[in-house]
Amino acid sequence: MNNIISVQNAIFSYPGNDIHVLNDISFDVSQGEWVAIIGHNGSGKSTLAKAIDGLLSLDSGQVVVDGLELNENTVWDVRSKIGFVFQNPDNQFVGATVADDVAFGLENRHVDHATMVAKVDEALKLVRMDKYADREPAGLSGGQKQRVALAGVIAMQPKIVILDEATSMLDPQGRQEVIELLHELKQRYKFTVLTITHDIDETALADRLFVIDDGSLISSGEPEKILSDSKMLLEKGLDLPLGEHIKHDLKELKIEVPEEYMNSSQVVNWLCQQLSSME
Amino acid sequence: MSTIEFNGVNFSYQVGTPFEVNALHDINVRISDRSYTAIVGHTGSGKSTLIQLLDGLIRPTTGTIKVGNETISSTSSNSELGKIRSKIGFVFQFPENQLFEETVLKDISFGPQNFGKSEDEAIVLAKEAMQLVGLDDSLAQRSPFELSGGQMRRVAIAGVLAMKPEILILDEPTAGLDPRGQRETMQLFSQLHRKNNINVILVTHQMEDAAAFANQVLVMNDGNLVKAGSPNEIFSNPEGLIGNHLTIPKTTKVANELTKGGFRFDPYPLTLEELSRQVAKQLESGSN
Amino acid sequence: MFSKVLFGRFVPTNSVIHKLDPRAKLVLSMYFIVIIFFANSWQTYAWLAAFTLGTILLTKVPLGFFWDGVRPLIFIIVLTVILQIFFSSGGHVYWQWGILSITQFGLINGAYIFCRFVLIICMSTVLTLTTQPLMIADAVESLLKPLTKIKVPVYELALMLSIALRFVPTLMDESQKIMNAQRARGVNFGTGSLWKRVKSLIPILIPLFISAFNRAEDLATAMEARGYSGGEGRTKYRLLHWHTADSVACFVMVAATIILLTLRYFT
Ligand SMILES: Nc1ncnc2c1ncn2[C@@H]1O[C@H](COP(=O)(O)OP(=O)(O)OP(=O)(O)O)[C@@H](O)[C@H]1O
Ligand SMILES: Nc1ncnc2c1ncn2[C@@H]1O[C@H](COP(=O)(O)OP(=O)(O)OP(=O)(O)O)[C@@H](O)[C@H]1O
Ligand SMILES: [Mg+2]
Ligand SMILES: [Mg+2]
Repeated sequence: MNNIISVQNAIFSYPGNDIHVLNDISFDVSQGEWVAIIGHNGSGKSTLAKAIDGLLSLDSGQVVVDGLELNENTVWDVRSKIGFVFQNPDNQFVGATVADDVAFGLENRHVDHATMVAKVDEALKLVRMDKYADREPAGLSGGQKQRVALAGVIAMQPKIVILDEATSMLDPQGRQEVIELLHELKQRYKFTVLTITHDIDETALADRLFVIDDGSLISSGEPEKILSDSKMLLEKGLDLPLGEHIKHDLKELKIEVPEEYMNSSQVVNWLCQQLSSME
Repeated sequence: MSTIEFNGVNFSYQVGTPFEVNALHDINVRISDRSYTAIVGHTGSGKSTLIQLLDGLIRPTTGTIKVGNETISSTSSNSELGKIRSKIGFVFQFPENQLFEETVLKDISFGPQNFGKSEDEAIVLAKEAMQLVGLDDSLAQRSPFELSGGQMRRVAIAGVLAMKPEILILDEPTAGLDPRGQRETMQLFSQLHRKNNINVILVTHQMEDAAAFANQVLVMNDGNLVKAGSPNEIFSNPEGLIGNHLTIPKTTKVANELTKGGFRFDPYPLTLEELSRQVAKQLESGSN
Repeated sequence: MFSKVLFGRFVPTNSVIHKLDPRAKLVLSMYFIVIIFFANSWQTYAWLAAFTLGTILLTKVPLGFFWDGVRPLIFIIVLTVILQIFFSSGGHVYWQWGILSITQFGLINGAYIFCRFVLIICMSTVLTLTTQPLMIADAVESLLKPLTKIKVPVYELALMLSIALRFVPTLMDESQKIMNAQRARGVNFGTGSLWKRVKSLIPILIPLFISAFNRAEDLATAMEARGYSGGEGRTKYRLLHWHTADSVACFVMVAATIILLTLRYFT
């Protein structure tokens, strides 16, 4: 598999501040992969995502996206390969109505009117917001606004989709809607996904998990491997996933539990077996 | 004494316009002194409206709300409402958006001064509040806008605690914080409730928090108060939750599955810690 | 929600007026305001009033909404009319005191000024009640397009206008939230001395300014991420279409002007 994103020795600090918000980060992401990124507030996750999209330029290091090295000349081509959904649903809604907003990216790419209408239509149907095409954002729920943002991304047919805490300002129902939709779209279009999130249970579904701490990539690997390292997760101010949380608590109570990663239903099954084997 | 009583409260936004919205219907409930009450409900169910009424930020269309000895009704004057507000601390969603002073200390002492404390008294209260929320003294003279998101949140919460409220209203206080920030914030409120005897009212979408910390849970649905009860009553009944468009706490989900596999829970576990304790006990007693 | 009532006040009754091209509506209502100044007699005013009333009825919007448009300006209207009555001279003098007098011409002028105000307000209210703010922005952009030749950034201005319109409700909600938060911290708006009232605005304005600034930064980032690099060469999703009805509306307006001028010069 070829690498669609490759970041080498990325170093970045914000102007007027010497702290390296990105402190020598390197990694590769292969085509079609789903990578989840976790880390405490201010660890540099959003900064990293923006650097990949060329929204800020590194002090040193290199970003290559789909074979293009990111620099001043390639930045617009790189951005055209990436769809970005941000945290605050209100602050990324550019259009005056739902349809206008979805069309915004297409307008920027000089797509002709007939194609644009067709693409907007199709994208809105995919996120099940076609009935709301003429509505203004003021009347929509947070979850609906984020679905519109996803439609805007889909209409551009990007190779990579980055979600920076796209569900963190939503209520549980809105969150569920957006996550399910994302899975559905990923199945269909096979794009590469980077998700930044604080919801540890959401990361268990990813192919790979990155842990960022104070600007460094301190751990990366399959979720099973990283999520079973409860000591590291707790040390870095993160949550334990449900199954591991129960295992962790039982271990504290001197119950012997398996070492390897288990999700919650595996833990439940294991416990029930233990109980029945005793009788 | 700060018992709260809602009696036949109705509320509509924009009464008398074509855009009138009836946001609350006939709310009757009693929140006893020194309790920890969680209000849960789907988006738009009226949670924020309910707590704004309680703080006298809006007046009920009909009905009355009693807070201690004071009463809020459709005819309450501004000064009466002001008196009630001085007893109540209100932490809004994303409270860091309300910071405005030049220094952290000034911002925290803003509330107490508005409610009649002298500048010196207010500064003493502000310093106490900073300690309470775990803000280092060295930050007192910094601009609140130079702080990290988590620290700004603490400054805003301290600004509310400095008013020494008898009742603390929290509207989704942990939104946007990382897991450690969420844990620490919730623990802070729980501690204020236990040690300082503050009556806490928490609006949340996080059923886990409601289950773990509250001793009374109010369930809202479409402007109606559909249920009020102990977390045990509310969360041990998943059908009731789903019927009101709520999610089931993770602990409840796991407990239900474990029950199917032969485990017995009594009392019903509301936190993972409690669940693990009971599981461990049953595994141990089985092996002995 | 709250904000919609205050702003734009677009009322979707889907009338023939609603369906007109916003460019036609914008140009015609401005044109009408100009020709009001040609009216000089009760016959001409009566004709324009009848024409305006006809238009209002065509919009199918309840008359109350037009009254709502006039009401906030009533003070200025009455003041102007009174000044006009007291300070114009000519004709029969009914009452005099120093330089103040009520004369026949004064009364007539006052009545005309009053009519002029009401007609202007009603016609512009017809525009705002039947046209979404966004469509007005589109019309402005389209009408100003020739100016791009002399390097006026019309596209950018139009985009700014439409984003500003889009954020009005958001910022209104935001200011409501901040006001509530500060009231909960004991700020009392609208009481006490003027100085106190002005001072109580600081805890609102600073957070509002900061939040608007943060939003603007987020929005700029989001726009850049979606490939926005200036107005040049951007295609447009929203196209305006000129229909027969728009030509008919223009024709009606020309006819109305001819009647007006006839009344003015031949009666
Ligand atoms: N525009 C900016 N100017 C200066 N410093 C900034 C700016 N944006 C972020 N920072 C700082 O850079 C660091 C990393 O910020 P970043 O937003 O990348 O963190 P994050 O991991 O996304 O955090 P969160 O979980 O809160 O979203 C923080 O210390 C933050 O204060
Ligand atoms: N200022 C307002 N004007 C008109 N209607 C309003 C206003 N504020 C809220 N509403 C309406 O009142 C109802 C209750 O809203 P409220 O904000 O109390 O819900 P909530 O339970 O707090 O929701 P959330 O979980 O999204 O915060 C909703 O239907 C909402 O649309
Ligand atoms: Mg971030
Ligand atoms: Mg709310």
